[in-house]
Amino acid sequence: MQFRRAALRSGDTGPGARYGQGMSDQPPSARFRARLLEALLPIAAARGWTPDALEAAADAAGLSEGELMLAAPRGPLDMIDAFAAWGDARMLERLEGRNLLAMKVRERVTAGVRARLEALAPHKAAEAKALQAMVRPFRAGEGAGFVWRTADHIWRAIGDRSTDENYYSKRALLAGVIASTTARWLATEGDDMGPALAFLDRRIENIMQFERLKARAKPAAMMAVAAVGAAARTFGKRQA
Amino acid sequence: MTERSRPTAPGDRGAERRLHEMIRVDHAGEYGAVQIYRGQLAVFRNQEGRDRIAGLIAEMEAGEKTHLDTFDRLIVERGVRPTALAPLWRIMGFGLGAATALMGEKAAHACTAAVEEAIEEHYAEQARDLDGVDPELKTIVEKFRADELEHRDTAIVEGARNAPGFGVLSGAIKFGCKVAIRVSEKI
Repeated sequence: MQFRRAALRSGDTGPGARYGQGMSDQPPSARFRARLLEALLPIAAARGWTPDALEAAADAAGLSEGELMLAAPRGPLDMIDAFAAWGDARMLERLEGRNLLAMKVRERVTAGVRARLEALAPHKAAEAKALQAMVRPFRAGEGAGFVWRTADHIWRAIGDRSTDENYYSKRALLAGVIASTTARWLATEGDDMGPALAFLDRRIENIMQFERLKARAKPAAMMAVAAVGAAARTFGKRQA
Repeated sequence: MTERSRPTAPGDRGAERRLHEMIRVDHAGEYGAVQIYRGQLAVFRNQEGRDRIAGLIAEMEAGEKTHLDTFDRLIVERGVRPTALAPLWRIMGFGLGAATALMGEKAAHACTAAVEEAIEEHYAEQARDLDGVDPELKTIVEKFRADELEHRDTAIVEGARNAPGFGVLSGAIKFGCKVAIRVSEKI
């Protein structure tokens, strides 16, 4: 966890912070991408995440055609990817200041999703356009991957240690919460986060209901052990 | 679509991915091993006159549990995605342990010998690959390999090779372990 956070940590909050300043060990592709993202965010907010917008941003950032190709070989998709990663990094910075250990799990999860919305707030219009670009069927897999990555960052940041199927169910449920809460937030005009946060609380409550259901299902595993024990006693007697 | 098919960008992510695969498969293996011993214990603890073998297996189970704890820690520390097939390994491991134990003490030991041998060979291969790459993981893998060898030797001393149909049983289990290893690296 520490190692991951350290890799993402940065003092600056501009888009360049994730890849750029003071990180000369970053490959050129990452450095160009950071510069491109910074120039692209206001353009994409107005015009969407299109190849044209990328070219305009490259001009504004002083990147050549070749440098643009290196920064984003898959075009807009790579930049939406970079934007999502940037949002994750800002989210983790916000979470680091919080005393997560003193909170209940549901409060930690809420804090995580909220931190992401707050991190994206200055670029709400760009996020709305990114979502529009990602709903195309051939990008559905990639989009799901970005949300999954955010959910993974949140669970790891708040101290999740599960290594079995719970690892997957936790991330799948949280990915659903992040996607729906983000959509609810984008549907609200202006800076008011109230409706989205109320929506978030209700979704977290749904998860807690699911967890309670799972806790009740546990005896199934214990019954399997008991059944093997019963078979062992019967079989053992027959042999004797 | 075309935007998906791009060559890997410059930068060394391949080495990290390989390390993650190693941790994922080792974790899955130790997880399965713990389940096998628990399956055997579920049988022997319910049968008369099996205290000695139950004690032996409980000791080995404790050993595997400390291995599992180590890989649990590495998964969290290094941000590795664990195997998605934990429920499958749990059911198959527990089932294999219970089934061989129901066949008798010797069959249970034959199972241990086969499993531990497969894991030991797997660790030996990893230790070679890790040389000069990741000293922490290499030390862990080498230590665990020695532990697995000890378990295998115990099982053989206890008469694993005298189990009815040892060759077939052991071959089938070892083959199953190798398939599981290949699958767990990726999934």
